Amino acid sequence: MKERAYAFGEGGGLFGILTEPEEASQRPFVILLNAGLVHRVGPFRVSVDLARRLAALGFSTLRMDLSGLGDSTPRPGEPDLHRRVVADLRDAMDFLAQRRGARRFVVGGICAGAINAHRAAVADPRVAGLIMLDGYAYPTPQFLLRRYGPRLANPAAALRFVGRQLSNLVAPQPAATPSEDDEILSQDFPPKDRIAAELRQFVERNLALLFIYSGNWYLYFNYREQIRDNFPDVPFGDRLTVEHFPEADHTYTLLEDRERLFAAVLGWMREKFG
Amino acid sequence: MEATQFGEPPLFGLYHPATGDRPRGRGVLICPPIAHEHIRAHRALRFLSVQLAREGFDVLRFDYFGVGDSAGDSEEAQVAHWQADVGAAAKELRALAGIESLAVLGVRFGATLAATATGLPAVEHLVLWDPVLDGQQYLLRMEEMHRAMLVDSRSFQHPRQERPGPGLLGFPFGPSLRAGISACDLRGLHRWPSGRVTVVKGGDASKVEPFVKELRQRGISATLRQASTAVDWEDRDAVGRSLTAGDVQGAILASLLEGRS
Repeated sequence: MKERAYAFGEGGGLFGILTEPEEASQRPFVILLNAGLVHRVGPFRVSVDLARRLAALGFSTLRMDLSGLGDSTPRPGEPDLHRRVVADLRDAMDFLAQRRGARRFVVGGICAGAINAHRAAVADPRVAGLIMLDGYAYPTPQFLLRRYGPRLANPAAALRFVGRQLSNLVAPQPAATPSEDDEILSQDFPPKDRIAAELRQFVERNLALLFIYSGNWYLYFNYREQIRDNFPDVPFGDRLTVEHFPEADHTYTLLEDRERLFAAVLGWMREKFG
Repeated sequence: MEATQFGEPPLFGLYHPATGDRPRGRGVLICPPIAHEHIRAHRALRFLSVQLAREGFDVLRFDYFGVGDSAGDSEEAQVAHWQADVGAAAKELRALAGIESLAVLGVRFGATLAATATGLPAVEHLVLWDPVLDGQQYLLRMEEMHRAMLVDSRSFQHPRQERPGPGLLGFPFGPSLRAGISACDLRGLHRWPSGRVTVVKGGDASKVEPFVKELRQRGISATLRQASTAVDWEDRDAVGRSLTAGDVQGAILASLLEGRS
């Protein structure tokens, strides 16, 4: 395994570490994005560990800092976060194409990183796969039943719940003071119709999709078939793999949870691109 | 800023050469915290490095073995290895910058490692930001935070019964690493790498005042510099978040500039 730091993009403002197996291969390159504001190593060094394990399987991985995060400088002249992300990813793919002849990419991230990976896939046909950890999900009848059903079966709990919702409605909300950090951290899910259209596009392009959800995402996702129920008109076939780790927290803090996460990602990479 | 890799297995570093009008011919080696605190401090230390370079210092920040972007699995980390890494990084900075004069800034357990480093060339000034004085207490507190996290519904949907293992707040701390950390106690340290030590403390400084007095009694030129921004390193909610150094950054800069041109 070889590891080396690179500055790339316009003016060398973007920064990342490329982890490569000893022998080059024709497999797609993996690009791992920032989780929130955490620099490229990822929460608890998860991106470093994953990149090195992927190298053992023959995959090269770039863990990069998006502009303005980690050790990458802000991208001047582009105030729109979404366009910045797409431009950063395009620069990363161009760099790997020029330096290593890479033609296909798997892009992955946690939370905001997952949404950013999705954006990159929409914008660039070189993306062949997506790894989305705690990305978007939308409520379904079964989701609501699982979420609220136990409360409805218990009248006292139901009353407490309704009371809490009412008090939330009337309680004064703190004044918003949005910053660039807030913008990165609190990205809303895109409208479901738009995502459905983009997922159809992914299916037409034959993208491999790995959606992984932790227990900490229970406000949005709570059963494995939820994504297929969200988008019944998208003919995913076997292009979509969904994993659910209800016992895990959002950033896989516990070592045993992280091992399960790695096994899921590595197994999927081997199956789809090995 | 230039990336560098040095040593074998290679350590990862980022070198910020002096960019100001008046290069000082003086280096600052930054020893970051470890584990979750390492990730929390990354952004603050990047900003600090840029500012120090603007002030004419040649700056190197680096990751210890098994930490950040450096070689090694987190499971393999050892205190003795880290102490030697500080010495190796100091030599790397002197070679990169072509300088002899060196200050070392250590943060949290990075301060502990800076003070106990091996193979360190002469250090003019040691600056310790919120140093971990007692390794044993440091571990105990992390264990408490870890136990609280396991039953916190904001982290886990249901309280977790974890299999016995080395994990503490997301990182493995095996028996050997724990023993190495527990053995570190700056209050009992007799050989200091520098005759000049500044302790920078945000918020309440009462806990470090006796330590600074003790250093003075041992003939070390020790200074306590207070800042108003208190970083709550033991705030479990902040694990995984970037910290804000606030006026600590200015206090560190002022310490390094003090008495120098």
